Amino acid sequence: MYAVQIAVDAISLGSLYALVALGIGLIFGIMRLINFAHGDFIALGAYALIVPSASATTTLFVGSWPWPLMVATVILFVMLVALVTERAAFRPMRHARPATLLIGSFAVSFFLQHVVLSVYSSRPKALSIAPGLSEPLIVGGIRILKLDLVVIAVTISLLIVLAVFLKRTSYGIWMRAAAEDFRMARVLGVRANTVIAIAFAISGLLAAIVSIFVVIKGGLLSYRMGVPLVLMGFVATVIGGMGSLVGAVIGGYTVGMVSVALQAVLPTGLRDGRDAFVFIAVILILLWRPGGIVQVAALKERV
Amino acid sequence: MPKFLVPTAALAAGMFVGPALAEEPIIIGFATAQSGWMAAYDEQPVLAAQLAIADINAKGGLLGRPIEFVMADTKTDRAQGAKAGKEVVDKGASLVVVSCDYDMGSPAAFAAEQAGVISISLCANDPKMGVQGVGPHSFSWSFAAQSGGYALAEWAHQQGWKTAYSLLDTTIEFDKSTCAGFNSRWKELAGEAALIGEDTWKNDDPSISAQITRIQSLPEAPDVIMLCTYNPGGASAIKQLRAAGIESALLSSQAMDGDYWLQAVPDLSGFYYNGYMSIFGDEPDAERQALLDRYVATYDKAPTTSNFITGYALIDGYAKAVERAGTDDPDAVLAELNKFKDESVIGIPFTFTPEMHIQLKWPLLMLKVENGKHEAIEYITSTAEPPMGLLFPN
Repeated sequence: MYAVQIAVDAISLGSLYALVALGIGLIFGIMRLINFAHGDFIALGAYALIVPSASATTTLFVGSWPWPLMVATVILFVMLVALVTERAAFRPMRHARPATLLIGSFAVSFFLQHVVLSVYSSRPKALSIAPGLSEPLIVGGIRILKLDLVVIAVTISLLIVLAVFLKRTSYGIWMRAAAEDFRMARVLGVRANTVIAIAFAISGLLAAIVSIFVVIKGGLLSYRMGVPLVLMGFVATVIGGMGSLVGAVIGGYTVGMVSVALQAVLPTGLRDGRDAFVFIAVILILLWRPGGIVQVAALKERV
Repeated sequence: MPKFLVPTAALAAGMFVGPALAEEPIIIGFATAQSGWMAAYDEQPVLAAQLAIADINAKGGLLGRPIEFVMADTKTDRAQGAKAGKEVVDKGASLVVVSCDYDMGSPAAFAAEQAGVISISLCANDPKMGVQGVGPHSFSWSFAAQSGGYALAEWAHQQGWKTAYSLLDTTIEFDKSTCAGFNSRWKELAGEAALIGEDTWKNDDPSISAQITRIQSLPEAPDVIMLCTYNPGGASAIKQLRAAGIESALLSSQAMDGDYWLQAVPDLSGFYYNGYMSIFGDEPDAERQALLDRYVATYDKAPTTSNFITGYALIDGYAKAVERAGTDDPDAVLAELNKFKDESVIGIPFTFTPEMHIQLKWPLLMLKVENGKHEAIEYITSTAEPPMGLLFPN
């Protein structure tokens, strides 16, 4: 019973990290840019639910709308944020070295966090969205939160839709070509701006979904709420195989499940250092497969 | 020069020099956070301190001298904090007020210590904010987190609760100290077996499902779960605990004060914690309620948490010591502060010794949240003091 319960917890957290890793992996695959601002896209999506204010009490804004409208608005808002960030911050840097792009994304992240901090103050904001989803379903002695089921279901659906998009539509094929060899793709007629914009838009969509789930589960917003998610998402893309979308998903589930498993299994004295053990596991995976679990041909070093 | 101008000039000079010497102000420097994340927690105690300064000035000042204050923003940055401390010391401060946190407030406190100036933290609960962690001129105008844990354990025991579970957020030292105090005192009062389990999590973990599963696998639900945490993780954990159907009483510290986070857990019941006072209109102590009313009237807004009163108490206590010393010279004032024994400042007893510059006992108000509403229950002062080994574990 305990094991099954923990397994459900693990898959749910893994799904969340997989969505984050996918958002980071999409952009890395095409631009070789590790977008640390992705965590702040998530935070901005969450803050869109409330009325902008520095006061201690929270007034619901988009969060009070009927759920389809609320979800659609948050998605559109975060997609807009992602596209504006791409246009204003990343496009001028497009041909810079990867190290410069990395520092650039840190700068964007820092900037977005401080915009939120100055508008909303550092005091966390509390809100309650979709309380019904926080109720448990009792199935054969196991408590499963309805939210966990929704997270798992939505993640799997999104992955299927994304896979179909990438395999069957022309934009999808363009994106896969650009991820494999950007220069060649451009020579063959793929528009760089279009492909990158689509990548950011999808990344924004994924960030919005994660932000809604995080708010329903935790109920609190803070200006640095995206940081632990983007950190784990980044680690997930590294162990999953940078440049591979399947790898990002595998990496996300791996990190989430290892984290929950360790929390459940470590003895009291060591549980404090759970994250240390998660990263030991990450190191072991990288020692076994330095290029990540799914190796992408385009990124393999040619001797 | 015409003859009459010389005596006139001398008289004029005398007019400038004479009264200036008699009314030389006492300068208090606020090296606190006005920007960055710490600002939300420093702002209100600082406003209360400024109210206390205005009150003293209205009564003729301190030792007949007006109190002036200067401010320097630490920007929630340790390096900037050191600069802010130095800045106010250079402006002639005989007291430096620092942030409500040891890590964020100690750089400015160090700057003051190096100049031999007294520094007092608004409400840091870490015993290190004092002689051992800064220097002999440094104080914190609040109580040790371990003592807070002691008081909570004693109150929990008085409620007739038999079993407790300790859930510790390991992100900041304050919570580790609170739980160390609670666990130790609880086991002393209720027995070793009465602490039926412990677990940890980090404030920014997106989910505590695994921790919840562990609690639900216990043979019997605990009577009370001690949550050593702060927001946002604290409210998030409470939301998840209740959503999973855990009905145990939840107990926490003043870090969970305020009702701004209740919107995340509508209709919360069975949540208990300690505050410095009640800011919800039902404060039992008339003097403290009056102080709250005056704060609201002066600043046109209610405080978000009850720790604002430490700012007022800080200035009042410092003024007492200055009056007894007859001067604002830091070493003389320090000697008077070190003699404080159950000295009543806004009704709270303060005791300092040359080795201990933070309170080990404090009258804490226990409050509860029932159906989403705060209610004051009763005041409690712990009956034992944590040993030095618990206060300074490293």
